[in-house]
Amino acid sequence: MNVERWERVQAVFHRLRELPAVEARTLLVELCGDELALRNEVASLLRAHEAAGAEQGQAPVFPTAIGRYRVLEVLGEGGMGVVYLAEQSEPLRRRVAVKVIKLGMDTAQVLARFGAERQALALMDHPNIARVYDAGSTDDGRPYFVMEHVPGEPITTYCDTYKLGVAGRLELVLQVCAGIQHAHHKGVVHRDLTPRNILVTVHEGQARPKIIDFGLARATAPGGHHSVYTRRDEVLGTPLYMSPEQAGLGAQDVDTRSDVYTLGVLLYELLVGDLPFAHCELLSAGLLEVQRAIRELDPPRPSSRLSAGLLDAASLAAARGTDPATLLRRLRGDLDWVVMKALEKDRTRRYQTAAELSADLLRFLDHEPVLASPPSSVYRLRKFVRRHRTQVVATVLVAVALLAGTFTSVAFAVSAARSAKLAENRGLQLAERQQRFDVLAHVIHLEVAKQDEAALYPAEPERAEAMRRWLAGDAARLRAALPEVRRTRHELDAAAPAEGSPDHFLRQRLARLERDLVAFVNDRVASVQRRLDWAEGVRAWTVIRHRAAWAGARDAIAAADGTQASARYARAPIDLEPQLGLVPIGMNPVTGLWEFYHLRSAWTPGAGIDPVRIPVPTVSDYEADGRLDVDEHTGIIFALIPGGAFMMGAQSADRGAPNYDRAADALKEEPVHRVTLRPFFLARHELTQAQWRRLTTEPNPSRYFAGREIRGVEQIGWDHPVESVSWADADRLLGRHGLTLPTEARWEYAVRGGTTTPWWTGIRPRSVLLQSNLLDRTAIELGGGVASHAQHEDGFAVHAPVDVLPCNPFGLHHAHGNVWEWCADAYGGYDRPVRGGDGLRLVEDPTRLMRGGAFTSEVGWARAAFRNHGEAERGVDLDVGVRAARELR
Amino acid sequence: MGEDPERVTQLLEAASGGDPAALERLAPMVYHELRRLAAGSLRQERLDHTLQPTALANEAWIRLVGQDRAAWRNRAQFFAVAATAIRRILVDHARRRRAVRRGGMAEKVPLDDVAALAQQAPARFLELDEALQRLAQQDARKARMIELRFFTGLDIAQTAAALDIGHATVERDWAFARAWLQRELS
Repeated sequence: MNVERWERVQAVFHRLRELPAVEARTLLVELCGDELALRNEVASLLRAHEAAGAEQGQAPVFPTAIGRYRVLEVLGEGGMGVVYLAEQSEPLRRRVAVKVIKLGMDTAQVLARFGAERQALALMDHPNIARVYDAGSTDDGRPYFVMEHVPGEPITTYCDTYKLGVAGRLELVLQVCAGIQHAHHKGVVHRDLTPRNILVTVHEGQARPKIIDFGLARATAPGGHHSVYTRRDEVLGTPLYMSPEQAGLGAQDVDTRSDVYTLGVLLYELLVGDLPFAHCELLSAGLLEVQRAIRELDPPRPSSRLSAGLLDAASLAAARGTDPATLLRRLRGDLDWVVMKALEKDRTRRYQTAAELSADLLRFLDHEPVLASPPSSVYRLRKFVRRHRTQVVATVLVAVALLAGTFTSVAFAVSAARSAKLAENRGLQLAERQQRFDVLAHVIHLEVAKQDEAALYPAEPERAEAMRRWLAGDAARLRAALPEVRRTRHELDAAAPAEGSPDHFLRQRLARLERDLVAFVNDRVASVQRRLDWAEGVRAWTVIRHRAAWAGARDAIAAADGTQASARYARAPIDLEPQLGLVPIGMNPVTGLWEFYHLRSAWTPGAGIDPVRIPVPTVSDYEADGRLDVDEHTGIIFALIPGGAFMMGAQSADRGAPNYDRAADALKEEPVHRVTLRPFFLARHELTQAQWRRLTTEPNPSRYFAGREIRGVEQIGWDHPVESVSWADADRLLGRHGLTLPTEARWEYAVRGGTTTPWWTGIRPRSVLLQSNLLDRTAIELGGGVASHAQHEDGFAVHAPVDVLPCNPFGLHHAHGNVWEWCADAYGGYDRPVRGGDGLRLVEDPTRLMRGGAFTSEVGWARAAFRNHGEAERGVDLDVGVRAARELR
Repeated sequence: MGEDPERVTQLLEAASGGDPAALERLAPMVYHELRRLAAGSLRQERLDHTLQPTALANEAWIRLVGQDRAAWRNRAQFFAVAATAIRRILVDHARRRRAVRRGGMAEKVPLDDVAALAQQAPARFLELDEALQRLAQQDARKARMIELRFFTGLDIAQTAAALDIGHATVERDWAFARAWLQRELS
């Protein structure tokens, strides 16, 4: 087949493959005209395409028309009825979805109720809501509704298909919240939100969820009761989305807050792939039982649910573009609390509106503290035990088994519980046994305490109270529990229970608990104590002690007169508040930018050093070229980068246009576009191995670690950049200290430092070669690299100390070369929009950007516009490091 | 003895720099390693113990290159080489098994489960291979894409990265090429 023909076959195929069969056939004839060969070719491919897709059953029989709508095909079948794709010709030609309600409802009543709400429905006009156009009755007397046709898939399916990460899923929920909020404003409550009623379409390249079936739940609810009663016969999916008030036995009023609850359920499902009470169904079954659970039981937090082991965490995480450990970390803490607040039984304790919920989700996405707070774990446990007093043995066992993490242990625990019951019946020493099993409640305590601990970051004053509470509560209780656990285990040891008996299970579990508790006290409790010390002192050490310096910095930066501070600050004036954790150094005499010292990264925890005594660089330490010496004791030095607009990217088309770069990659770096940024802090240096050591107890991941000698060429020092850091580790480490990764836009803006050339050093490759640590002969000899670049020699075999070689106009060292630097953004094309303020690109992708080139890079890869990327969880290459950024607060 | 990781990395670097000679030197190493790894799984004849091309390619990657070396771009290059190698291994295997009676399951094995196909329906697998060769003559990129997806289990995003083309293009090509193959084999 010649190329032209081959292309045509494809063009026609793609035009038709998404269309319903009937229409595809008609259009095929139209498109191919009398070219029979072409028509046959495409027709055979379309048949094969259908066969290759999901198994399609025989075409169901459907009516040719409903009212004045011509039926094209069946879209789906649900508990309520059948949905058809249909075409309307008058007054305008459009595709619609027609939902025909099952027989058995009073059509007149349904239509009357729909009529009552019709006006409110007509007022709704929102991109995230599918419109309801019309209603009527079919020839055989069934009610039908005519709605906007949404060619999408359920939100859950969409998220999993495209492996959306947590942020991507939340962005979709934010849109759903917006739709719900709009409807609530217009006085319409949905009452029947489920993923099947939220379809995601792609609109102008952006995912857009649309809520369908607004107003239908109420219309189809008989006798003023809510829809649930009509839907008993439906699959057991729907009751699981009910709010507690909907699950109530009596007819209760259902208001907008019921939809907020259901948003919580949706959030839960999108995050951990299961419903809050699905496990109740699993363990007990029965609609009534599930309803009771919804009314009375507190569901496990999303993160506990994930770590409980009943779910396939690995594939769940994979569907979210991450691994189980990272997903767990992401859920723990704030996100848990947000979900749990939406799921409060008492609707007065929930978010009162969808807008409140979305505001908290935005706070989470922006790394700001959320309003939802953790319910006291003691309170929850007490509630738990009280509720299950009568069956405490069984429940504790089940809970423990859930935490222990396997199906087998669930089965085992259930059988153990049964034998405990048996013992009860026989009147054996139940009380004693029960007491022993009660000790296992500490497994839950421990789990809760660990989760809460992971949320006690960063070490700043507003977390201090939570830390104190944790130390006095969770930690103290667990410390006190240790002797009891130990004693019970000894008793059981002495009794030597038979293999397979409940006591044997108990003994093993207690031995593990004992180990975990000891590690917990030595490790986690000590860590929180240190964090608390910092949180309590940091204001005094940085803000209060340096009050005069802060006032000076504020005046100088506000003046922005070119002598006390760069005139660049005048473009986006800054009223500088003292920044907790930072100490002003002064104006860099060369760049004119103000620089600040990050105290925590200069402090070694547990070494007995008073933070007040940590030396802070001063203006007199600046060398003639603006350099500040970095050695193994130095903390992070931040430059306050002025806000402003710049042209991002590069183009090779037009010499006269901005950011001309002969080597620009048209696919990745174009189009050149304007980005405006608020002021922010950016580290002048890549994070050193010494700073890494002080900021975390995680081992130094660097392949070329401090002390290592590289084939006799050079010795690695503590002032070398940390490398082999994964994006996830970098992101977590910085987040725990109130720092962030720079967004890609911030990175490029600061590295360009006002220039528009391929490198800040100029337009010629030679200019950057002389001032950067890039691929050279030595590096090639050490393995890797393209031979054609072997001529050059920069004097460094691998990475260099972070403060050598000249800095750029903003004072950044190694802006090009040394190690790649992770950026906050997921990798995506420049056709995607950026967020205002920090320039984060709004993209969903498991890969993350890195910038700047490394000692392994040729000059082209070190260009200011060059974009490299790697997997978030696995990017552990030996040439990837990190440069810290921080928001201006 | 395994190959020297630094050398493999070097070859990969050179290959992604556009040096065809490097690819030629690399291919036999990858082939050899994959063959060795595959030998065990292919002896198994039970349904639940078929070879997993993705796992195989991953393991070869780790053995030849190591966990912590080379960047994503090299990995894509490596998988591209591995896809061809796995295809060759399975073709050899299917040829040897062609005489085996076609089991009742044969029709039920989906096209993209190439390992199961090669074991349980060798004749059909060889038809697939021939169809792929025809596709390569008509449209090399689509054939390459099918090879990557079928024989190393890369998903759409990874395939896009490996071939350095857009996501949407992969999806379109994929829909078309799969339909084309399906038709050729029906």
